[in-house]
Amino acid sequence: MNAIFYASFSRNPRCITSIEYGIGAEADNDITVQFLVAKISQQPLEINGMRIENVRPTIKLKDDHCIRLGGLSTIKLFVIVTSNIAEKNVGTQWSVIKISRIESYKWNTSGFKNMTEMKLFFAVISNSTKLLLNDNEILPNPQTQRQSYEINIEESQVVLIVANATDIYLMPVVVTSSILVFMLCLVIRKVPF
Amino acid sequence: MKKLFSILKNRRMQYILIIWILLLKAVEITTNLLSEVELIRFFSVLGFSDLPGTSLAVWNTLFVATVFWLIYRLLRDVFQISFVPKPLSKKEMLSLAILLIWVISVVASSLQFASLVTMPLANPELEVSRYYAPFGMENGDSSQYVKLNNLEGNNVALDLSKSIFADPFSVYMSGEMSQYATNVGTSYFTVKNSSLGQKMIEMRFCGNGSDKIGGWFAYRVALQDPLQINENATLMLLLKLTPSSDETAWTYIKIDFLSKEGKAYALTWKFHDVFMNYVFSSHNGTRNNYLLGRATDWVFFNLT
Repeated sequence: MNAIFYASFSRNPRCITSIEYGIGAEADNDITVQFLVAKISQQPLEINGMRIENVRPTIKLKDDHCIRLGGLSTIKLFVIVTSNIAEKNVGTQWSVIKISRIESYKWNTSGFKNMTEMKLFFAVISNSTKLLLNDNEILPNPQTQRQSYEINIEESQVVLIVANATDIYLMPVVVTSSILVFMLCLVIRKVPF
Repeated sequence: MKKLFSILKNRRMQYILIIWILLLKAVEITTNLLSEVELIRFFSVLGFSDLPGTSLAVWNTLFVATVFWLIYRLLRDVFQISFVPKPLSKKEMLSLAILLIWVISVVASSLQFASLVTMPLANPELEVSRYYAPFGMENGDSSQYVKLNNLEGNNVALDLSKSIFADPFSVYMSGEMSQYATNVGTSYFTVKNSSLGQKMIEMRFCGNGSDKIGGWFAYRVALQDPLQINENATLMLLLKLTPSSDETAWTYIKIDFLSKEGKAYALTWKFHDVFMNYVFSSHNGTRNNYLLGRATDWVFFNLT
């Protein structure tokens, strides 16, 4: 606050005499605000030596796999680990009037029994996307592009299959016209052009 | 059908059709561009992005054909260049027709295939999480530690909005209320526990129902023993504001200081339910107001 105060008034602050909290809006509203932290500390919140600037900081773990916190005394810290994908496959499939792209992802989660929560996040581009999560079909939420699903922590593996398909009604025409040209060549026994 | 062909043979009618298709394409491109701008995103409903893949392919083919037809018409009508095809036999006509159908089908199917395989992937992320109780703060070391085991190669993040802090507020004792355009007794300042067991300050503004009148509720705590501040003193804020129905909500924290010369100054940090980011000075230069943008999701600030 020393720096902000000096930048604002070209003077150094000595002390704080009062603090005021306020909330407002046009009077046809009913709103609330929640402060989980409103703390004047003698040092900023730092984690592993990095100053924290957002509500969900990513941590760079050192060799000792320790998180070191300074600036704000904590009783419980909510730690989120993004698990590595064990298997990933992306392929395309053709049928007479349809092309499909199948994405398959697999995670081994047997080592996470001591965790509290397991959530899967992924993007869905089209409303017609088919989703299979551990062999159960799930429906995408049309309200949001980034989907979120809570998974039972007891699952020993998680398999997600994402299928997108497009109807290709002109593909039979391609095949038929190719055969027709071939037949025509046979009939007249020469290439037409 | 004959009547339709005779209409389409008319040069003027061809130009009208071409202009209509070009105008539709211009609308499509404009709505796509407008949808990138936050405040006018609703224009995207006029776009064609929600059409099924096949319809989009047909529309794009029609547009490309229109452009080629326009070039042909301009070459004939403006530059007086005309193409006189040599007369074809029935067999040649049939072969040419089959070739054209084949080319159009191959191009359209290839475009559909290309758009499918180049669609963004789902990019899934599996997150597992749990609470850890930090240890430490001993022998004069003001740090706390959390030891994570068996997490090699994984990304680790924290969620401060779900964490529980030992002493999260500097000032929340008894203070003075002031309010305007509220329902008496409905607006408040209180300290309570969240559903996760976190201690938190909750403030509510419940307006008296008047539209176009800005109301507010404030709670001021005067310190009997002023807080001395050093060079590293940092204000940490972790807050979330409910959005209003008309984008007029705000909240602030105002801190009154005495300078080393004994003069009174104030700093205000204000958060809205819409995006904004600017600074202004008021009260004859003795108060600086920092408007730090949208706070309808949890935000954290380390203000040094």
